[in-house]
Amino acid sequence: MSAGSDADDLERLARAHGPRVLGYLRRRTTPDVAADTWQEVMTIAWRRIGDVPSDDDSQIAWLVGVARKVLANQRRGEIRRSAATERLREALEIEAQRTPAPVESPVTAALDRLSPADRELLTLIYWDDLTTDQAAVALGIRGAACRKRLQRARLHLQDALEHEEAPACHTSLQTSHQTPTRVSS
Amino acid sequence: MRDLDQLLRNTDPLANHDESIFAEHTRLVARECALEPRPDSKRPRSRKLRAVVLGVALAVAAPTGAYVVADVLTAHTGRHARANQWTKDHSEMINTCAKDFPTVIMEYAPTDRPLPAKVTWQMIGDSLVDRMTDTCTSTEPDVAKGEPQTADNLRLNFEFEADTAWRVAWYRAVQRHDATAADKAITQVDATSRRPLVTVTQAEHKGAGGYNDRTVEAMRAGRVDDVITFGTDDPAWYKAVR
Repeated sequence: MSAGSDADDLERLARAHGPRVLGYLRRRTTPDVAADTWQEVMTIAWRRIGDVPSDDDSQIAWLVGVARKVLANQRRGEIRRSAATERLREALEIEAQRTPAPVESPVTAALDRLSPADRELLTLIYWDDLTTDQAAVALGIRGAACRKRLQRARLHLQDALEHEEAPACHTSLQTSHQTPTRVSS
Repeated sequence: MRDLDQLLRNTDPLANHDESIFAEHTRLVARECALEPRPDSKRPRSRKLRAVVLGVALAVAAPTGAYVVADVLTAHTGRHARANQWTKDHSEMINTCAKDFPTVIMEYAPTDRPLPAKVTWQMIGDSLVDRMTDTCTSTEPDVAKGEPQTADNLRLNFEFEADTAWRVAWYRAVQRHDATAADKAITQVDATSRRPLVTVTQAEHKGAGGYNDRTVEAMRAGRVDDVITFGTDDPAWYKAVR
């Protein structure tokens, strides 16, 4: 990252990308796990501040990649809690109560029918608004492989949509994770 | 295809949400994290410099005792979370980037628990090692680069991988209409919630419900799609055991 104290760098990183990474987490887990995971992401970024890319586009991809891994391994009560995290958790829970439950539709049902890998890639692109190159970094794969996988995932989704006959019979993506969270790293 | 893009965007559960309302919260969390002590080697060092640093560390450690060397090079660090640092888990911090981690991790396999046929604890351990060491440099064990895991977390990961293996076994039993094997697998998935360490974790997530309640319920009802949604969150592992 750029010159300046490491603490300033970390705050800059959080200011620039925190809400977006938090959005990634909110889409995939509960408010309390999202808050704890954000803190863990920042802890890792603090430990590895020298590894954080310098440009904005790469930073968000790097952070989402870290968040993804933390979520994958956060299967226990081994979560560091701080006062700021408690406040973040409270804010997230209040917001979650205000947020209407996701509407079931043939598309959400079709998404649920996809493989986790297809679903993850599509949601990274269309929900989290990552580019294919950023999604590739977050997933730890090559850009070309990511583009190929995206093409395939879209075809799978189209197939699933065409065969989707009984909407609203599946669990929505929002409820697909349990506590402790189980996601692949 | 453009329609498909729009349809996908419309399914975003946070569409039309302004995430910037959390900006100040996320910044404050970052500020608190920056107060934490961290390993000295926070900036990436050149390979040459790392070699020099490691050499100096070894030279200093050699006459003063083995503890420092062991601290850097072995998975058993002898360290535990500080009293105010972690909520509950004060088990030993294990250095996943140490060379002996693949051996040490097997100490935490809950071998009292049965596994499906053709699945072994070694297979599960290998899978965990792959996952937990992907940030490590392969030839230079470096505790600063590692992602320390606690011993209890390693035990828990074994429990959850065993759980996943039983879900796969259940899925395969359903596919071949083997009700006995399916029931056996459901029993084992259900048992995950009562494993001692899982019970402790659940107690810390008050109100979260039993770990496998919904999955077991769906399994008993034969709702395969729901179980797949809950369970296939580790595609690599599923692929490996199928």
